[in-house]
Amino acid sequence: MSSRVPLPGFALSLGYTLTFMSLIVFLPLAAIAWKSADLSWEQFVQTVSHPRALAAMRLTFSTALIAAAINIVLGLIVAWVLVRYEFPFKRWVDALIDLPFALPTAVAGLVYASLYMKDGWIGRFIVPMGIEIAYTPAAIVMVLVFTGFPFVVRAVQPVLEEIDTDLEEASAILGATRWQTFWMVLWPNLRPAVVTGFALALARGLGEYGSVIFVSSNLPGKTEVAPTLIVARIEENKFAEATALALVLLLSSFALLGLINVWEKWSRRHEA
Amino acid sequence: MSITVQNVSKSFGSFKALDRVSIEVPSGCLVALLGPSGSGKTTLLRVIAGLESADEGMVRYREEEVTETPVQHRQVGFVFQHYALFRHMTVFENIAFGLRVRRWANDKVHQRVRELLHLIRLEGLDQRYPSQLSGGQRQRVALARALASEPRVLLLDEPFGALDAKVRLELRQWLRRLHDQIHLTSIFVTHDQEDAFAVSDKVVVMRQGKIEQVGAPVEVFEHPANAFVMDFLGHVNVFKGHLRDGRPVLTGYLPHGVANNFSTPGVVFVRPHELEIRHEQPEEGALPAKVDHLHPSGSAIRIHLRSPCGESSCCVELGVDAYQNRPLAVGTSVWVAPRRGRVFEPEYSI
Repeated sequence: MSSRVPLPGFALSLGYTLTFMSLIVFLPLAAIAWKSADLSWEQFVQTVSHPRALAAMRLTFSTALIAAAINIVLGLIVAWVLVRYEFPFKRWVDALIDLPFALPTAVAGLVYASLYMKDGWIGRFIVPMGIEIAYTPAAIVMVLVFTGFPFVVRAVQPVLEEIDTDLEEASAILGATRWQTFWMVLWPNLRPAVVTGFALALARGLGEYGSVIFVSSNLPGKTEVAPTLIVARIEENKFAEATALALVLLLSSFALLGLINVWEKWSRRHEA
Repeated sequence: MSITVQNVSKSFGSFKALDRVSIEVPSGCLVALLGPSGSGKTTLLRVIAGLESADEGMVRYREEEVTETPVQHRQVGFVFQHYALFRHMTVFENIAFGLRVRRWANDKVHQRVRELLHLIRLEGLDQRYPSQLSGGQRQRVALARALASEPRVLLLDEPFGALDAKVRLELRQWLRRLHDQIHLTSIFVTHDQEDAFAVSDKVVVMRQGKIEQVGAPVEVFEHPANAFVMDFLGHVNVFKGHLRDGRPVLTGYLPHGVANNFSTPGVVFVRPHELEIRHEQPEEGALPAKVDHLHPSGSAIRIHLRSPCGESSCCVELGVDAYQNRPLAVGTSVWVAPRRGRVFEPEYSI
């Protein structure tokens, strides 16, 4: 088959791809499964269905989902403003979007924690009002919004740039209100990109550790996320249990992303 | 519904796209806005549609002033140059869009869309997506979508611009027939004089944000108001010369590049079909030339000729029959003599 391709290089590049995918992705993943096989089936089930493990999983998935959902709204608005309007320092703002990618997430966690603590810049005003954010699940959502936000912006931006203003004009001239134009014309075109951004932000949120340990109180069963629990198990030298948890986290993330992919494909069905 | 535009001006930064433009489109008329790119024709169309707001002046549909009416409420049909079809919707939903946003009942929507599909002869393709249609079909869908909610006027921006020659011809005829059926006041923008002549009742020739001439196609073609219109509405030869007793006298060729400068005095404009080929030197007023290239163009033969020194050229159009009576070979020396020619007052503006 490769001999039919007029441009050479298929065999070489495929070989390269497979080699590096194996070394960097498949092998470590296989090692996780392998290591967790040290446990018997009963031990495995017991480990992952332990109330502490279940609570951590629930917290991980709920905070990551909520944060990714918030990022859809925030990311859409920011991408819209960056694409559609001209304003001073636009390029600077555009460059700042990527900051969460570059910043060590632990720094973000520390900053958020200190801002919302009882005597932090923001905390000193809202804690007396009864709004506790630092060390609660709300703080976890907040740092996950921070770390996941660029994914949505960067996924949506190019698509938004490609949408002709013709479409909006056509919609308006056919009698649609701005809101109808958004829902009926723009959103269906943006949806695949938004889904991609959502999936990336979600995946990022599921695995986030560095920032969460600083903003969360990490109380088992309350504010402990799955990655923190895995690290705790490692520190207890229970490697097999840690990999069992990692495996469940991995498989459920994989299933979730697969589901999102199917949805995305479905929403692109009109593209011939 | 008649359309009146009065003293409309529009600038983009320092560029004056429209400069106190006024036109009158009678009810049921099909008008072409014709001009080169940058002449303001599309801007004028967009001002009429409400997609652009005029800096000054006003727009009226019949007696109602709509200058300040938002585009959603103007009830105009607009066909975009690149169709602007909603690619995530089927043909059916594209056409139904204007009805859906106005919350028509579902059965009425179906009835209306069926009518339009019949009108554009795309029955059976209603579940296709725009990407599965040819250019001409997309154009017709865009037209049906614009017509769906029974607009008061129909505006088309370069409706044939993106189509290949054959489809273009068909669509031209089809659009003309459609207009004769529904009698909707329509304005379309084009840079192609053939499109304008083939379809419209009236042609508005524009240049640099101003209107140069308004009239029926034949009228504008036969009696161009100035050198620009003459040049823009078809191929034209420009020679040094003058009129004597209404007859053109050619005295020489113009150097290359001068031909499009409309402010040159002492020039005669002659259309290719108004030039004759002579094999012997006629009385004064003719110029010697050498046959350079022959090419058939429908029922005529176009003969490209060069001046003896070779730096200027002109073009003669002969009927096929006339040509066959006395065929020409490339390189033959002949004389060109005008049967008819026009001179215009030089322009001093700009």
